[in-house]
Amino acid sequence: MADVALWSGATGANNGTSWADAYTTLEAVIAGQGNNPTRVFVASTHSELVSANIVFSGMVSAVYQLISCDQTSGFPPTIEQAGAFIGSTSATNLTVQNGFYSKGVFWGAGDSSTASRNFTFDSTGSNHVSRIVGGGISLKNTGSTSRFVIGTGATSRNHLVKLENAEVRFGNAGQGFQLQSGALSVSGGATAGSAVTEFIKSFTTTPANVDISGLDMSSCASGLNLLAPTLLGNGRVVFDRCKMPSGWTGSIASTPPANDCLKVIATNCDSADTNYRILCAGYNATMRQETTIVRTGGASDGVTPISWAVVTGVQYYPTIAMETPHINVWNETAGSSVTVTAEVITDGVTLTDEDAWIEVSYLSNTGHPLGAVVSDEKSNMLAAASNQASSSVAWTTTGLVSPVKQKLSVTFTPQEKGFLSACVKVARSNTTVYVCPKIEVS
Amino acid sequence: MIVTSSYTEGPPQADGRRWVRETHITDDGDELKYEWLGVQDAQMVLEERVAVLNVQYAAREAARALVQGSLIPLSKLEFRNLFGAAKPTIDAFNSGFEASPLLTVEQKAAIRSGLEDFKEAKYIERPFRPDVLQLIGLYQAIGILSAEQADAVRATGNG
Repeated sequence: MADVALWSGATGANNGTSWADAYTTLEAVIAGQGNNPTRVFVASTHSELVSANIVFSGMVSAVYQLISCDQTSGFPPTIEQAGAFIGSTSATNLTVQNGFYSKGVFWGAGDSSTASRNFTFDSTGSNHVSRIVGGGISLKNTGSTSRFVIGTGATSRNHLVKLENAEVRFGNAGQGFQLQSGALSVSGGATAGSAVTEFIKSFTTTPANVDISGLDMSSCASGLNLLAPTLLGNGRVVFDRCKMPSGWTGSIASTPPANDCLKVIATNCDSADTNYRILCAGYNATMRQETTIVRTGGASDGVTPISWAVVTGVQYYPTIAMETPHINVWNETAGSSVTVTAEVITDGVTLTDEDAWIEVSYLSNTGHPLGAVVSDEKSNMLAAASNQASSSVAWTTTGLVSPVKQKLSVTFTPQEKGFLSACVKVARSNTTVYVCPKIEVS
Repeated sequence: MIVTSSYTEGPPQADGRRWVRETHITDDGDELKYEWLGVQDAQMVLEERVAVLNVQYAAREAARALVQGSLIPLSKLEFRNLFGAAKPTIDAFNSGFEASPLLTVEQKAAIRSGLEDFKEAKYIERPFRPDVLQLIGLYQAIGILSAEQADAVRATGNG
């Protein structure tokens, strides 16, 4: 692997062989090194603006590594130092084609522009990964429609972007991420700059996945919604253990996604000192934690009793139902029947087996881990719906006018010990169902 | 625009916050719902949300007013077919108007330019531009189109 120097302040031979003779632009590095794997020592004082796409080699085996360094530590340098900057001019979007690695480098789109300029992670082929460690990415313009764009919308041009302990900076409250044929993984780091009101602005119909963990989002607007309203598109979005803005009153979206192919969950994301917060979104429905209407002796984080409130809008049984996260419970019983029960409560609504049911996956065969799924959804589609069984367990019902306690249960015979995976599905429209996530196995 | 708004508050949660569910009804009859967790004054939040939403509705109405009346343009063939049975007469006139003693110099210039524009055009805008209406009026004045025929062509132009 070649080692070269990149420093905008160099005045020498522009061949990367020393700091004095450093390449002065990234374009010169790529032109000089081609498809050879290259480690680029970028001076922490380096600063350049590009006006054309940055095109790295299209070879996963020849990924460029850009490392921001303290050039006073010699060549090759021995001390990493964040600070190098590579961005696009005010007249240009910043488009990076193909995967790369950078550490301590700051990237920015549309320097000081008042117009919208995107920062796009593009690919000339599939299976490209960019990993940005430290440093950060920014929309350095005040255009309200500027986006961090992941992928291009073509499944043949996927791009996985990983941000690790990196800064994500916005120049306008209307900016955000746009997912197209790619994936975004964020671990650690923090948002900065303008207080955006929606983090993910759009998905295309090409599948895209988002995993965001440990991101400090406290610079975002206090009403931050994780997604724009009624998003179309396919994919899975997970936010986990993120610090939300002070006094956060936002949600998954002001209006849940407009299709059942987009699943969203946010676990343990809050501005206050909680460790039980959960938000989910499905088609025209949401689920959130509830700490007052709870089952006595039910789920708890050890201090705070918890239930899940499933809130539905218009649903379309039998194809669309809001599904809770799966609850995994270890099962020691094999060869004998087991009953799994989820306790639920509503305000004045008696649920039928078309309205809500439990589904359990268990190991149904000996000798191999083939599983089966059993549920108490109405099994005879030609018959009328039946009420789910009533329950006598105790709940705190503060705020409920006419509490109706029921239980959803299935009985089956596991053939192997192993985890049972249960979830509750709610298909009744315009209803709030409180589910105790501590399922009982007997 | 939002015409009515209301909210309900859930019981206090373990950490003192409570869920607030807002319902806003628009003048189109749409129902907008928002649910949030916090300690903020629910009435103030409700009123601020109405203000924010109404700004967006007003902007949408302004945009709609700007584009009201936009019509899909006609192809050149669609435009010619508006003249129906008069087409052969119009074609004959167009090929020989330069020699007509009945037309003034200005009228011939207008017809000449109009036919050149038609030749260059990719489509015919709607509502019809003034120069198109002028030529329709000229065809009516010299008797190629009856008043009813001319009115029918103009009506198509205005959608």
